[in-house]
Amino acid sequence: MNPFELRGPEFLAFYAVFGLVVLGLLFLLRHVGEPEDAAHVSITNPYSIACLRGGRNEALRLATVSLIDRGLLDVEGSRLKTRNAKDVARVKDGLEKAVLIRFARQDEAASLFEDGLAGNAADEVGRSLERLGLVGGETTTWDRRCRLLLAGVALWAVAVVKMSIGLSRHRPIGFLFVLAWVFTVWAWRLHDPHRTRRGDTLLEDLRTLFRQLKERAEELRPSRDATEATLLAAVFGLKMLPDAGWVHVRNLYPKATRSAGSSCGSSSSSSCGSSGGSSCGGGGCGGGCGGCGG
Amino acid sequence: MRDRFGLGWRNELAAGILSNLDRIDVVEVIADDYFDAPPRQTRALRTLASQVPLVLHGVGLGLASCVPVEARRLAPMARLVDAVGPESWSEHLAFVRGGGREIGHLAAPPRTSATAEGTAANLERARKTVGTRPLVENVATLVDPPGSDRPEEDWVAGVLAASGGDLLLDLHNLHANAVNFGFDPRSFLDRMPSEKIAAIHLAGGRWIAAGRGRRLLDDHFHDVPDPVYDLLREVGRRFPRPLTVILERDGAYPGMASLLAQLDHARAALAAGRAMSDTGRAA
Repeated sequence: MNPFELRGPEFLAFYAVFGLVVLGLLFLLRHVGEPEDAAHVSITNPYSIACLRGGRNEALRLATVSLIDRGLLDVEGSRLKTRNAKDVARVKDGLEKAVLIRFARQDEAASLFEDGLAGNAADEVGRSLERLGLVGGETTTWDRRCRLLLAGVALWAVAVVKMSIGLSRHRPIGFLFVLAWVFTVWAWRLHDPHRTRRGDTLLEDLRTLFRQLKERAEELRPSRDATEATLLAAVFGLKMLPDAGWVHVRNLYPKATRSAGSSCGSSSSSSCGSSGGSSCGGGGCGGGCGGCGG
Repeated sequence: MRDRFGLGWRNELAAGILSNLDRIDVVEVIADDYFDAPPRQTRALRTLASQVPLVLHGVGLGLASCVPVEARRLAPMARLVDAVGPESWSEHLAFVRGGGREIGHLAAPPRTSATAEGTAANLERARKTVGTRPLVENVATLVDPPGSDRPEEDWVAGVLAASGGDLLLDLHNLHANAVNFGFDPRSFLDRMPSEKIAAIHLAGGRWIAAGRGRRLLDDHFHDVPDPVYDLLREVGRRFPRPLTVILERDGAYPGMASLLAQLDHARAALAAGRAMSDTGRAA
């Protein structure tokens, strides 16, 4: 039986099955190729957890929020200013140091994502995750992209052949075109999250361990619970911080604190690796996919 | 090896613990909470064990009994130990059921040679099933166990000798029993073989009315009282073996700063005892 001779609805059904098989293969290859065991990985730094969950920009956002909670950064609308320049020498964390230096002069919060020093500090966090096998390094990313390319070629080759046949016979091809796109996007999201399976496992375990913290998020207050709030935001996202005490975070990072309706899903477009930059790039991407909460 | 200080892992304290691992050396997890937990939670516990040294603490086996512990009760502990890989596990020297009824309480058994032998036999069953022998913890009691023919220290020492196991010495339980029944807790320490004390529990309690008098209840809802730190100092002076000291808190949670301050207090007390011991040896 030649599937390309199937009538429209029958071919769509065939293509749906074909697409699912391709996705299944992608999932299987990732499953086989990447170890899941997170039992020997230790990360307790909230910025590392934030980077694991949402990428380098999320780590920068969390550092900013933590510094505000601790009274080291002043916030005015969407602008930030380091309260005391001497604090730069006092903080130990490289990410926090870079943030304080960046806002020695008052500036927009989102300008942090363009800052070289802060970017390097965040990339270092990402590299440490790479070394632990929690986010994909160059090799992993290359392997994934090759597999994704093959999947895309397979999906579109079949679709294009049938569309060509359909066009030559003056048949509609819209449904098939949409279906091919759906499977392509699905394959992308399935196969190209920045975390490895081990990273996914660790993040899920952290969410399990701190589920009660999430349940009592509304009780947290900045002055009293700064440490817990930082961990809450690291594991579950900035959107979990309650308005009472953290309403300024909504002004600073509106996209990252959006509580629902995000289309980012579990994959992040914000690189956590060593590639040296977030795909969000400019200051206009203050939220970005990093804020989706994985 | 060195002395280590940690907290009982409770969901309410989870974030505080993970945020202060520079001051917390070890966490103790209640094993029974995970016996029926979905695999995801057990795996999370294993991940926790990779972040910080972890010990498991059982509350429901009821090993201190002449009645053999059932294999079906040991099996979940064996599975959990296998899945999580804790440094050690522990259980109470208590019975929790009898005649087919659950007491819902860690009850002190009659202190007799029969219960000591039964307990040792149960500890051996536990060792065979789980793979390692548990540390055993002395319990607090509000009533002197009827039918007893010996003091608590003799009974505990007998169990340790018969089983070959080590002791998780709960100093607040010891303190509570001492004030409730009017004995010197140091007499308890006198009977403990120095190499057998492996771990310490610290906790707090409250006074409750009992007849015309009052009793100290070990409720884990209050801060560690000074007499318990004094006992820890005494333990440090007497027993040179490195200890794992766990602060237990089951409710009315204070801020993390308060719990960390209590851990610091415990560190100082044990160190002071160690220093006294060193001075004594040098002299």
